[in-house]
Amino acid sequence: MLSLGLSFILNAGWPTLARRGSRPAISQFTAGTNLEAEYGQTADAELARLTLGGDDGAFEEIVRRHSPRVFRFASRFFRQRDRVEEAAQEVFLKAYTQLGSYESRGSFEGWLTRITTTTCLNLIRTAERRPEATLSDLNEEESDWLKNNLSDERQQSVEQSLIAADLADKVLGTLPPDDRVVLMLTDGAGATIKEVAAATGWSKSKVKVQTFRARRRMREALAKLLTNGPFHQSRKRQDAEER
Amino acid sequence: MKQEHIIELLERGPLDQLSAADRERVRSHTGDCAACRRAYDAAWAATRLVKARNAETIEPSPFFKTRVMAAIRERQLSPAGSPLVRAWRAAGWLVSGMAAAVVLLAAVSFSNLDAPSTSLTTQTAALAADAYSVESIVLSSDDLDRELTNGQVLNAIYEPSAEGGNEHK
Repeated sequence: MLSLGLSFILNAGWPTLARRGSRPAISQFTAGTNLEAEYGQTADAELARLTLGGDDGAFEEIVRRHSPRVFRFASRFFRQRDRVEEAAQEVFLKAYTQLGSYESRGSFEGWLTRITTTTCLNLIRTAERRPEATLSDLNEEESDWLKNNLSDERQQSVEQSLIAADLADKVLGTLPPDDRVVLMLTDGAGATIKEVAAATGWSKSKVKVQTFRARRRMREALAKLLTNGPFHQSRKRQDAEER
Repeated sequence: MKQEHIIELLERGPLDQLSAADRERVRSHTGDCAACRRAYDAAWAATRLVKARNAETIEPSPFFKTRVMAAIRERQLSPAGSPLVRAWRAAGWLVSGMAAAVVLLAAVSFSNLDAPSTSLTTQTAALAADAYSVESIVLSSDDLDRELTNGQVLNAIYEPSAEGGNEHK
């Protein structure tokens, strides 16, 4: 009985029913309007205020304005389009419901980044973590990449970059979620410790320790692949030639 | 000790951001130390892989915005807060109204238990004893100001009457 009542409260949404009379339906509101022309010059904080006042068109503009950035962020953790879209949608749904907690004094982007980071982190945590990567998990191209790209600082071809991204995904998938997040943010996106702390809500000390550990785990995972594979022999030959 | 120092250096940051001096230190050390050379190779591969992975991005589809707004409508979300907060806000007026009613009832009950109840009892008894006395007419009048002046009312209440005189004896 209690759960039935709770589910009614959570799902039926009394306030929505109450607001429906004063609030235009989304499809009606957006029909025939050009969001960019109407809200293009409006600041994020003002769009947030308008949304809270019942203007869904303002929130639509927030989605239009910030979705490329949220997608870029989520792309660091998910490779399939549907997973990235799912994460991004979750981010905006949370942003919509938590808009009341946004204080206009802070940056809207920063607030949204925090939501994006925690959402992605939660989704990674719920996903199954891969066991340790072994040589048998790598295809021939990935093995070749490891063999041929050590200490090579030249710009990679598009094809080589794709192979590297595939390989990265396999190795990163074996790391704990927190490691993946800090590695992608610091070493991938070049974020500072302070920026990662702001995005995750962790202390700067925690970010620093987590980053060191993540680098070590990533290095050790790759060291195993390198030591157990033919690359080690290749390296020995290369060393002999250099001498 | 020297080996530990090199490995610590590898974990301090991405290898492509090492200073020229640190690079030279790593290069000279790994020339002699096979273990550090392997660690350096792995760290370098890690740096490149993470960069390559970071370069991959997926752009939002043209329908993404519509999809989000449809999801909001479908889930009947409100920008005011979480479902529990929204439920509380929606039911708040009901709860507040009920609380106010309880307080009002309690106040009325307590006031009836106080001194005024005695005078009400006396008045009731007087009315019962002499239903047509001046006092009963005054007390039962709906609009005292129009019917009688203040002086008339006071006189009517305190003037000893022949019929009601027994009460004061």
